[in-house]
This record gives sequence, structure tokens and C-alpha cells, in this order.
Amino acid sequence: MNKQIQYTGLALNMLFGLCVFLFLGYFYRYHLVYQEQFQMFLFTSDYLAETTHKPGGFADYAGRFFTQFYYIPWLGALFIALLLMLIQRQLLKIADNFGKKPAFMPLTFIPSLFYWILLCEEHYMLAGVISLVMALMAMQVYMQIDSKRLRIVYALLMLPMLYWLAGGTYVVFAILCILLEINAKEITRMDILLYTIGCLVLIIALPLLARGIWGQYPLSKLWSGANYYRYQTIFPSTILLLWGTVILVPVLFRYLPSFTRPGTKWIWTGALIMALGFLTNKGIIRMADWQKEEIMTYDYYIRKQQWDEVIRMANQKTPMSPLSVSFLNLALCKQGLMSDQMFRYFQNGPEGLMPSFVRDFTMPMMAGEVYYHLGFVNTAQRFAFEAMEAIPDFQKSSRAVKRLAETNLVNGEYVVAGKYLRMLQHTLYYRDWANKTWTVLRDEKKIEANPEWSHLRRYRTQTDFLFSEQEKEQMLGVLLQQDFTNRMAYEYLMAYCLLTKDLQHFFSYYPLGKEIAGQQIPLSYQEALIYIWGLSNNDPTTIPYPVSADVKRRVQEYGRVYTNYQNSEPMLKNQFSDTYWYYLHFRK
Amino acid sequence: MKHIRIYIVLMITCLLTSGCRFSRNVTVSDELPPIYPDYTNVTIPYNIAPLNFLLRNKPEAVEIRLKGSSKELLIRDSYKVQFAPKTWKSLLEAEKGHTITVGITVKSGKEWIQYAPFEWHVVADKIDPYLSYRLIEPGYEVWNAIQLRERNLENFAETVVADNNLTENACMNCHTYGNQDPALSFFHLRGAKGGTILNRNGQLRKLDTKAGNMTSSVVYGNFHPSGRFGVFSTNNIIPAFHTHRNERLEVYDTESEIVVIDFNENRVIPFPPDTVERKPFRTFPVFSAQGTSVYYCEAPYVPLPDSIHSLMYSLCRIDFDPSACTFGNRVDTLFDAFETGKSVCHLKTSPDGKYIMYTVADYGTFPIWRRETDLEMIDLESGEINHLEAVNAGCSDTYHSWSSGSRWFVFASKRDDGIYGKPYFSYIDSLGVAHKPFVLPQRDPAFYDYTLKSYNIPELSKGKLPFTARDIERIYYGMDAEKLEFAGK
Repeated sequence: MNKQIQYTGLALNMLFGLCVFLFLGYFYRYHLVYQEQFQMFLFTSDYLAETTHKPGGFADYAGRFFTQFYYIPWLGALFIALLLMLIQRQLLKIADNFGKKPAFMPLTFIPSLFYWILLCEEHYMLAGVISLVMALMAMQVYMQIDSKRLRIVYALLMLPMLYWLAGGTYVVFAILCILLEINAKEITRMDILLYTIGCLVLIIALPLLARGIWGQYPLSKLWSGANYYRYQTIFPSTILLLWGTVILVPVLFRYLPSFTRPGTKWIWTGALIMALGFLTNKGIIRMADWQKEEIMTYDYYIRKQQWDEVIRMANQKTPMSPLSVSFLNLALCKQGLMSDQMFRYFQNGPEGLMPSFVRDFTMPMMAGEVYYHLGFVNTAQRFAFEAMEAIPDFQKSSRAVKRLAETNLVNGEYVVAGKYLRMLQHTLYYRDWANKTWTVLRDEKKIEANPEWSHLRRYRTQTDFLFSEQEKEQMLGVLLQQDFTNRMAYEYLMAYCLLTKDLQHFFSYYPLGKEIAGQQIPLSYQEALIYIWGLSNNDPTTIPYPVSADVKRRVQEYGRVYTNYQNSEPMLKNQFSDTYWYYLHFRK
Repeated sequence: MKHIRIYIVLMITCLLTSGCRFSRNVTVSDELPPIYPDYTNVTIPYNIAPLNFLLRNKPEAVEIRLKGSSKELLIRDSYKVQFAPKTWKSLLEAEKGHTITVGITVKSGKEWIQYAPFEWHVVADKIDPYLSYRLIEPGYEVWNAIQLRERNLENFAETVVADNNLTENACMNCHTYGNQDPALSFFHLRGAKGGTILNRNGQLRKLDTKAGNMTSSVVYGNFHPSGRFGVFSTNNIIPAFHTHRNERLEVYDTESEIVVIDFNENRVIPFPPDTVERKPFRTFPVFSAQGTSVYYCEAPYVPLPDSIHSLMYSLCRIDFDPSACTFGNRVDTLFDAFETGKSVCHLKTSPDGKYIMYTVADYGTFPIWRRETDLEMIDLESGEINHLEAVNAGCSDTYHSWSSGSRWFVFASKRDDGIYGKPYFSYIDSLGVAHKPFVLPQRDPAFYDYTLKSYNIPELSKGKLPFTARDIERIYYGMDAEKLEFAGK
């Protein structure tokens, strides 16, 4: 019977791993991609030394090593699943030492399930998982030692080593060691007391000693060691709670009843599985942020320049946040659809076109894409640089460094571009790109042959002016003035005027793009033009621009409802929410 | 048995010859070796750390012959040449006042190439052995890790003297010495519990330097030779961002003024009031070596940022009476920005009082991102300007500091890549001629390739600072900032 439960445990462990893998690798994969970009794991001895020199540094290093595989989400998910599965197996072994209670085996899943839930938040770092695995590994070795004296010597020697390698989880190890000895009753009470005092002294002394060596770290950081959370000044209480479960679960096995009747065992096992499954489900629902996942998905497609995918996503569910709307607008523009279709989707003002800079590590990294493709190369460079500077755990970003290499290459700053490429050559997933780009440095012909770089070189700002968040319209105007064939600058300029409801400027800029737009006036321009015409003419159908019959018909219908009903918005929403007129009147 | 002996002899021969790296069949090249950092034909002090370098073409083996007046060394190394500290030290001691010829031969494939030799001129004038600087990424508005570090120039030892990890990630400005004395220095620590940290004889104080109607807390400044006073600018600083290729960050003041702080009396002495309607901008003040006048930069008012290209600072001087704590009433212009078409900033008087070194740029008050930025020096006796051609490069050269003997100075240069500033040292000989500068040596010569930090405001000092990062942490959290009294209206 126990064997059956044991096999069930193994099967459950694999099922759990599969669930984690599928969830993170498929449903929640862009969270992993998002996380990967905020580090730059270098295969260099300097990076190793720099990361591992401080307490918990090895856990950080290993965490970053595995995090780099998030670049390929299913691979990242696989590593996370394996690590969480390992924690459960390790804990089961420890729990068995406190008392074999097969019926309660599902309880050993609690820390792994807990960590799965926590990892749904993108700021929980993999170093925390590694740190826990290392403490439990040390514990497993402890349990293998038969001689009680050797065990104690091992624990007292392992504590400083574990502190240096794994950081804060050395406390978990120490507590488990003491509890195991209490449970085993192989040593006298006095010895246990002395052992506890010895461990306590080490627990307190180690960070204080470390403070003497690494004076530049605050004591709080030296207590926790590894980076469990992206924000350095925060040590989430949830991590303490999780460590608490790691200690508590094995101890429970000492006190839980041993059932002899197989039926009772199965009932308990089944009930625990269901309860834990239910709680995990609740936890994930609470912790997983699908809105962020959506933005991260948009960002991924933009980063990979998969414009069609962006539009396909928007067609399934209209984006609402300024950032995701700006991505959609960029994709529409890249596909030549913006001026026709932008008002078919929700628009939330100029921020949904050219987002403003905020001191944050996420937003500038993402929003920089818009400026990059527009030809504001220096602005894209600033956004990438500042985003990297704002990363809360002070890591560098492969994505930002890649962008900096690109912007410097476009600007002809080959030495500094080379510096960034040299770094990327030591990464796993950016190496090929860096090696390839290295070969074109200073080779103007090859750079010109690259469509993206030559496009940017052609359209980037040729004269110097100071960037102004308040004068985006003028800046777009400068881009257009440099080259009146710059379709993107023209469409963004027109879209900016439409979104700021500045019809006067829209009307004055409109003729600038005749060559670009061709004979066919884009739909949103037709709607704006007929509206402007209608302001001074009773009959909008007399408009001297080639506005389609459908637009003429719709504006009359819209105008009829808008002017005849005080609260016309709900009536117009169904039929006209895809028009510029609706945006003009009802969107802030 | 006989065969075994033959095999053993053959094996040993093979092993010895395969390990042999002596140059043979050498091709002589008339080119200088592609070494990084560029330490070719530089003047160095006898107390500098080993000038480790690497060869960019990554040869399989390198032979270096160092030939001085009394010593000759042959060193074999990989493409990264790292000298043994003891050997290096004894070589420089022995060659004090002489020239070392450096010959490099490299093995590339099957052939050995001997490059044209270069020289190291070892001067007997010692450079101050400590250098402090701020390490920060050359960003725009956002910062993360900021540290003030102190490096021993005679070896590679480096210590952290302030770290924003310990001070709530607050920004901290660069560290400034008085008389290159480690017992007299200050830096500004921003943040909620910040202030100006004043170190006088190892005693640390925290000052709230915004008093009366001052524009801001003090920003750029310098000590009086007595250590009693400090002269500072107060600036309302605005950052702006260029959109064109090599241009990056612009910073300008919408207001700026000069004050003197009496550290003994905790008093702020204002600059004499202006008679013109639109107050000019005044910044970057320093005391003269004797302490009887203040040099500073002044620009007439222009509307900003629109007229940023017309913002031109001249180098001016006004008397200061330390016994009466008063400014004089006559202003002399030593360098007229409008006559020369160049704007001046970052003034530093040499400790012997002979020179004043400054930075010139096309306009403005923040030249660190502008490529035309160069160092210049005025001989205060003759008024002659030295354009320091041997020192300046194609990128920004600025933020300089003198060594206490007035024969060496350090400055931050972006010459390598245009972005990341590094400390360079240059020698001024008895005739006032500046020599080709060399970059701060590092243990690993590839260090600069992989660091993303910039060295801000490197400053030389005669000794080690008497405080640590933890002292700064204690002061940040545990000490209230002393208030200053404003002596003006």
C-alpha cells in the first residue's frame, strides 16, 4: 500500500512538473521572456567573480544562469519545473526522516506549489529557488551521515559555506538540522542545547563578519544574501513564510497520525491533493497578472518585429493600455495600415502613440521601440540606457545593450558599439547576432545593405535639437521636413494631431503628405477632413477632397444623432466607435 | 632499454621545444605594436603601478624587452602582459629620471614579428599616490549603483569610501580635496538625510548648505588653502537631451551664483550684489593658491534653453580677503569667451600658484558630452595660454585635478569611445610643457573593455582618506545636518 502511495507520489511529482512546465512555458511564457531581458549573463571569469564574491552570490549566479534560458520560454519553464520538482523530492526525504507518513505525502508539495505561485510575479528571482535547493541538498547530505559527531561538525562547517553560497537559506538548514537532532534523540539535551547555541552564534555572526569584509553592503542585504526579489530594498515576507513551510512540513510528519487502513490513507491523500490543487489554483489566479502578460506579449512581438502578430492580437482583444496601444499603432504603421485603421481600435491619446519617458526599467525599454523605428535614434538610445540604469537589482540588460550597440552603430559610433558587441559575444543567445554585427562594424557598405540600419540612417534626425516631451509634434515635423518621403514620420505627425484633437495643425500638415499618401486619402484623414469641412459648410458632401461615399453617408448619420440627442454617446458607440468623430467627441 | 632511453630523450626534446617561446626568424615591422591601453611613448612617474597592457591582435606569445639605463628585462607572457609588481617597482626605482625602451616581439602563426620599440620616460617627480573618483554609468537622469572609490596608484588596491547602497540609493557627487590633503575633503550626499559631508582631519560633519535665499544647496566648489573656507556655486540645474548623433546630454543652469562658506563659523558669505538687471550666471569657483582671490566662470544672461548655443562663460577673478571674510569689488576677466569664441568651465589652480587649468568648449556649462571639449592652461604670471596639444584628444577631456607637486595632473577623458570616461595622467615639465598622457593602469588590461562605469572627477591626494563607506552610512542615518547662517540679505 505504502509502495503504491510512493509511486503515486512520483507520478504526482511528474504531474506537478508538467503543470508548471505547461503553465509557464505556454500560457505564461511572455513573463519569462520579459524577465530574461533584465539581465546579461556573461560567460566570463570576471562576471563569475563579480557575482559570487558576496554571500548568496553563487545562488545568484546559478539563478541568472538558468534565467538566461527564459529567452526560449519552454526551456526556461522546464528548468523551473525541474527545480520545483526537486524541492518536493528533497522535502519528502527530509519529512521521511521525521516520520514516514505516506498518506500525508502531498504536504511536501506545499513549498514547491507556494514557489510556483510566487514565480507568477515577475519580480521573484530564480536565485531564491536555487538558494532553497542548495540548503535542502546540504540537508540531505546531513541526513546521510551516521555519526552524530560528524553530523554536527558537518553542520557547523557547512553553515558558513552555505551562507556564502546560498545566502539566507542557511538559516533553514540550521533549523532543520537542530529539529532533526531533537527528533532523532540520539544526543543528550545538553548537547542539543550546545548545538543550538553553536548554530545560533553562527547565524548571527556570519552576516556581521561579512559586514566587516563587504562593508559596502547594508546589513539587511547581508542577512538575506541572494537576490530573492528584484527590488533590492525589499525582502518579501512571503519568502519567510515559504521558508517557514519548508521547516514546518517535515516537523508535521513527526506528529501526524499513521494510518493502518488503506482506505483512510487514500482518503487523506486524495483530500490533500484536492485541497492543495484548489489552493494553488486560487493562488495562481490571484498572483498571475494577465494584463501584464498581454503587454509583455505585445512587447515580445514588437521586439521581434512580428507586426502581423501584434495586429492579430489586437483583433482578438483590443489593447487598452497606452503602451500596448502604442505597440499596435507602431505595428499598423509598419504595415501601412495606421492611417486607415487606427480608430478601429481603442485609442487613448498621444501617450498611446509616443509614450513619455518615466523613470522605470520596463516602460522606457518597451517604449524605446517606437522611437527607434521612427528614427529618433538618440531618444531610443536614452530610453534603453535609462531603462538599464533603473533595473532595481543593478543588473545589466542584454536587450538594452543590444539596442545600445544598434543605436551606436547607426550613429557611426563604432568604438562604443564594439564595446557593447564585445560584451554580447560572451552571452549565450545574443552571441550570434553580436558576432555577425562585429563583422560589419566600420563597413559602410554592409551597414547600408542592412534594411533596418540604412532606413534609420536615412530618416534619423540630421540636425540637433533638444528632445521635448511637450513638443513631439514639432519633433515629428523636423523628421518630415528632412525628408518628405518619410511616410512613418508623416503618419505619426498626422496621428499625433488627430489624437491631440488639434485639427488646425492636422489640416495644415495634411498637404505635406500628398506624395506619400498618393491618390487615396486614408480613412481617418477622410473622417477628419469631412469633419473640418462640416464645421464651416452645412453640406459635408460638398467637400473638395476625394472622400468616399461611405464616409459622407456615415458622417451625415453620425451628425444627425450627435446633434439631435443630448446623451448620444451610447447610441453612437455601436455603429461609430470605429470613427475619428467618435474619438474626437467621446474619448479623453 | 636503449629504445626507451631514446624515446625519453625524444619526448623531453619535444616537450622542451614545444614549450619554447623564444623568438626566432623574426620579421621586423616599423609599426608600433597594437597595444591597449596606449602606453606608447608616455611619461610616467616612478611610483606608478605596472602599466599592464594587451595586444589587440591576440598573438600566441609575446616577448617584451625593457631596456633602461641600468637594467634590462626580458619578459614572456600571453597577449595580456601583466608585470610582476616587485619587478616593476625595482625597474622604475632604478630608472628614475631615465628612459626605458620597450621592444615587443609577438608570435603570430608560425612567424615572429618585432614591432617598432617605444619609450617610457620615467620622471623623478612623484605623483600623489591616491586617486579618488566616482564610479557611475554615464547615464542621463537615472542612476543605480554609485560609489566613491579610492585607488592606490602605486599598486592596484582600491577601496570604497562611499556607496549609495548604504544611503538609500541616494545620488552622491564627486569627492573634492583641499590642497590634495586626505585630511581635508568634501562631497555632497543627496537624498532625504543627505548633506555636504565635510572631512577635516578625519572628523566628519554633515552640512545643510542651503541657507537664506540661495538658489540651491552648494554644487561645484573648492577649499581655501587654510581649510577654513570653501567657495561654491549654487545652481538650478536643468538636464536636456540632444537628438543628433554624437550629441547626448545637455545641462544648463537657469540660475547660478557663488558663495563662500566659513566652516568654522557655519556662515555663508554671498557674492557682491549685481548692478545689472539680468543677473549673470556664475559657476565653477576656486580659490587661488594663496587664497586671496577667487577664480570663477561667468556668462551673461541668455534665455535658456533656446539660446543654449550663445551661453558663453568667461574666466574671471575677484579678490577675497580671508581675514575680513569679504569679496573685493573689482572683477578681472582672464579669458574672454566672446573674444575667443570658447566657453570656459571647471577651473583648477595649480598648488604652486603658477597656472590655472580649465576646460574649453563651444558653449555652455556641461562639456563632458561634447567632443570639442579640451583642456587649456593659463600661466598666471605671463597670461600665456597653453593649449595642451599633447594632452587633448578628439573626445571630451575635462574634470582635471593637480598633484600636490604641480608637476602631474589627472583628468577624465572619453577619448577611447566617446562615452566612458577614464582617468588619464599627464606630466608638466619645468618648462611648462605637457607630455602625452596615459590611462590609469589596471591589473587586468582588458578591464576597460568590459566595465560600463565612467570615472567621474578623478582627484589626486597625498594620502589615504581617513573614512570608510560605513562611516558615511553612520553619518547619513545618524547625524543631523548642521544649518548654516546666511550673512547676506
